[in-house]
Amino acid sequence: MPTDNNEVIKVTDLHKCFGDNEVLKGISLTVRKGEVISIIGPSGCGKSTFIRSLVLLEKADSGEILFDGENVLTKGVDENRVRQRIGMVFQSFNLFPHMTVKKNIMLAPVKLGLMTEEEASAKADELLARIGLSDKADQHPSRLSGGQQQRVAIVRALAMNPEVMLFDEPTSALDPEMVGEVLSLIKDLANSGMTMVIVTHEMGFAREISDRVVFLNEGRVAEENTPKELFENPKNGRLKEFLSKVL
Amino acid sequence: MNKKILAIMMVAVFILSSCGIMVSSTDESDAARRTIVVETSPDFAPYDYYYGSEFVGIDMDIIRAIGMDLDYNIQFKQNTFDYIIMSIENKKSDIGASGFTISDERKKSVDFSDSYAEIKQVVVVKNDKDYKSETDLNGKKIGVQLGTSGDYYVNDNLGILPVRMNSYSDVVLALLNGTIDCEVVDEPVARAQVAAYPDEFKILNILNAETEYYGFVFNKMDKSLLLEFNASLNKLKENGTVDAIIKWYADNGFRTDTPSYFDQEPTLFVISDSVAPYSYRNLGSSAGIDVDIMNAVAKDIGYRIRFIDVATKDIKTRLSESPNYIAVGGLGKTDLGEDFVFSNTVGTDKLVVVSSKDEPATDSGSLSDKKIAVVTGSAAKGYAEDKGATLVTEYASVIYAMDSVKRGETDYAIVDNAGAQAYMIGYKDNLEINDVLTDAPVTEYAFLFSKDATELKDMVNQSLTKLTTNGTIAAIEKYYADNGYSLNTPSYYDDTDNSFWGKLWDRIERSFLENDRYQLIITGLGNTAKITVIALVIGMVLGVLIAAVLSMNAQTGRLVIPAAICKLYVTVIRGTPAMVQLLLIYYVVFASANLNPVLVASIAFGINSGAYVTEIVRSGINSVPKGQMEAARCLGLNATTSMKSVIVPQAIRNILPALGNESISLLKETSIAGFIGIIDLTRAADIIRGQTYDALIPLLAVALIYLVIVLVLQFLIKKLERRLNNAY
Repeated sequence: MPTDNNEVIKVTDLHKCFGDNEVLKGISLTVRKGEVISIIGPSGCGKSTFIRSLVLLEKADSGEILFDGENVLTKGVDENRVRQRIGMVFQSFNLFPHMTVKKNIMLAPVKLGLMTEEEASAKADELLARIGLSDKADQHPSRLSGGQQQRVAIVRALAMNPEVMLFDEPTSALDPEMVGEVLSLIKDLANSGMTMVIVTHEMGFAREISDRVVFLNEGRVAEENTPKELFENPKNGRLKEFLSKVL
Repeated sequence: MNKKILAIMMVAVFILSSCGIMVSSTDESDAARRTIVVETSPDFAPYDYYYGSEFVGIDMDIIRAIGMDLDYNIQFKQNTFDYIIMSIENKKSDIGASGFTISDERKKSVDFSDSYAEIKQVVVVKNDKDYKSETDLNGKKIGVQLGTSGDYYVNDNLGILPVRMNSYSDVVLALLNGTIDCEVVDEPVARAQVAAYPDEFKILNILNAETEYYGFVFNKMDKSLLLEFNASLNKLKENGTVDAIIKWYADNGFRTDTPSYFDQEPTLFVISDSVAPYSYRNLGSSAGIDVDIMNAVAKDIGYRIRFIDVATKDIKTRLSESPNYIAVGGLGKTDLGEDFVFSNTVGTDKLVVVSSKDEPATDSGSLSDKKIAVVTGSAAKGYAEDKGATLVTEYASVIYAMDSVKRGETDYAIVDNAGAQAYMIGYKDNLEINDVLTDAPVTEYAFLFSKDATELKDMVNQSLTKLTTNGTIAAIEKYYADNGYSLNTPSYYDDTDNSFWGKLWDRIERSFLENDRYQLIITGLGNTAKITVIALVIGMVLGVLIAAVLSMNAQTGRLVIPAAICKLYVTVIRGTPAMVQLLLIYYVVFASANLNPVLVASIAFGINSGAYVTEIVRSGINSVPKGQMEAARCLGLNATTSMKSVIVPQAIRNILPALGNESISLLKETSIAGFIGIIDLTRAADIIRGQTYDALIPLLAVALIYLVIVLVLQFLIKKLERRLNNAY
């Protein structure tokens, strides 16, 4: 079992309101190094808000997010530096349409001075080779299929050598025949030991690759367990109801 | 790649235009001397106008003379008349010289030099109108140029609200088109106008206005310069330079195709009365045998030629004024004393008898008992007396002599054949020509010079010999004879094509080729291009920066104070007219800085355009999906870099059509640059209009140029759009 030193992210009692609507009602979650955690739950349960809070796209109202032991919600924390260490993959890919695939990957490492142009180029080539899209390097994203785009988005995040990868419903916007290629890339990542938090509707996938699955309901962690336990022996009533609908 | 090329092009154009500004504002050779900047409104011939792109006129040349005397470098600058005083008051320029009447009102703001010209106000009307006194002007629409003494006189003294126009040429056009009944203007200016339109206008000297004095305008703080100029001006008045300058323009008929006194091209000044068929007016142009022989001489010796109308009785007086004059017009070679000399004989004619149709003359013997009319100074008098005539009356001209026969005052007029034929047109029903004086002496015609004009006479004689030998003179004489010496005969050299296209071409020629006026268009085009390009660059940079600040403020809630300033800027600029902004920036913001107006205009239009570009870019930024910003931020890029590398490039593509439209409206907006004294494309047309009194051609031409530029811009924008669209 991982020790406390291996806690990459430790969220404690996280609250978030949008106006009168309290979306997160005190969520606590610990992500350890090398762990793959899936977050599931019905629409509007706060999954997306939660994962967006981790990368500071939403500002939590209260609570703590410790990243490598540092509370990133403290004033004065350089959010850019935090984000450089976290990879985020969106449902809608969000590749930069005006840049080639390769330039998409190279942009951040070069702009942030983490790599020279040459290093970034070599890294991009390596990453593209890894996902089998070397031939698309100089094309603009619009020429790629959705699945290809999402795979590029994933390696774009990987180019920053993040310590943890966050996925916000990475396959929801894909045509069914393209879901597989993206999931298999994520699976590869998991196998390589990457720490990951995945918001997903792919129950089978969650069950297959996760170390733990978290069921969110109405802004709270309703149940958290190993995939086997959670899927085969759900205890929470809402979870049972949810599973009965999606499985 | 494309973007890089575009950027390089933009930078290159910017640098080139900036260089243009630098070059035009400094002149190395004159670096040691003090430069005096003189402002004028060059639509006020004969005082101030353009000859090509050169400032000329009486004012300009007096200033030039003073500049030479004081060893100052004079730099002329054009501005709208009613802004010049303000400009001098604000030290934008050193001196105003634009026919300013010295007035107490103006003295409150500026100082005046001593006077260099005395002026009366006169009325100009169309030829078919006539007013006898000031009271006739009641209820009439009187055109004036805004802020001139004519304006004040009509408004204050006559108590009539004048029709005020911005430029003098507008007044002339209004009179030409009949939208006003008359105009009130300084007399020499009126004369220049009548010189341009002899068939349209005439001057009425019916105003009781006091004599006015023109003076140059100085800043009140600049007493030492004023003292220096006054001393020099008085010196030049005493040594005759000022008179010589004024005479130069007067001799040129105050016509607007007269170059500077200091840039005189050799000119034949031909003085004559109207004596057909030798010298007369046909459709406002000089025509006649003598006129055309002089035209031929001028062509031969490579001189310009100017015809000055002088009454016969004044010809000798005028001749003795200057050795540069030649008198023509059927002058018979007779003894005029030793003060005058004739050229070689240019033609001959015989005497004929003009009689009433009822009583034709049969031979020279029938003259003795008749009342005979002759022309003063002709050989006819002596001849008639030889034939025993006792009742001989002298008349001033052929037409008076013939008219006396028609009225029955005399029986016969003995006059030159050609003259008789020329004027028969009015007497066909009553009179006839009897070619019966076989023994009469032949009249020899020649041109007349003052005795001092030896050089000129020799030159003309030489040319006349050549033109006789090569048959030119014979051809001219034959041409007029073939036309029956009719007054309707245009000049032999008149190649006026009276067809629609011919007339149109004439107007185009006048608007652009005469006096090299096309140079103004080129200057104007250059300035319009400079202002547009620099303003465009400034506007784009400002717009993108401000839009980025506003968007960042909207997204992150930071940059509160800069955002507030930006919002204020956009609101103020979009809420006020560009014209007002331009004037404010030139006369208030940069009031004390003596910057090149082109640069000031570029800045003003750049600031103006920036506000519109801001709104365009903002809408462009808003059109980029939110996820783009989020993705960029999640990669660890800060807000600025995200904006610059991710959002703005996408926004630009979305807003390219709108930016294209903005650059097109900016181009057109620059047409108000003339109000701070810049010759842009529109002002160039204005200036040409002021010289030719023809609005249509220059304005159409300029409209066409704008249109072509806009079409080219549209084409380029379309092309750029297509490229960007193909890119991703």
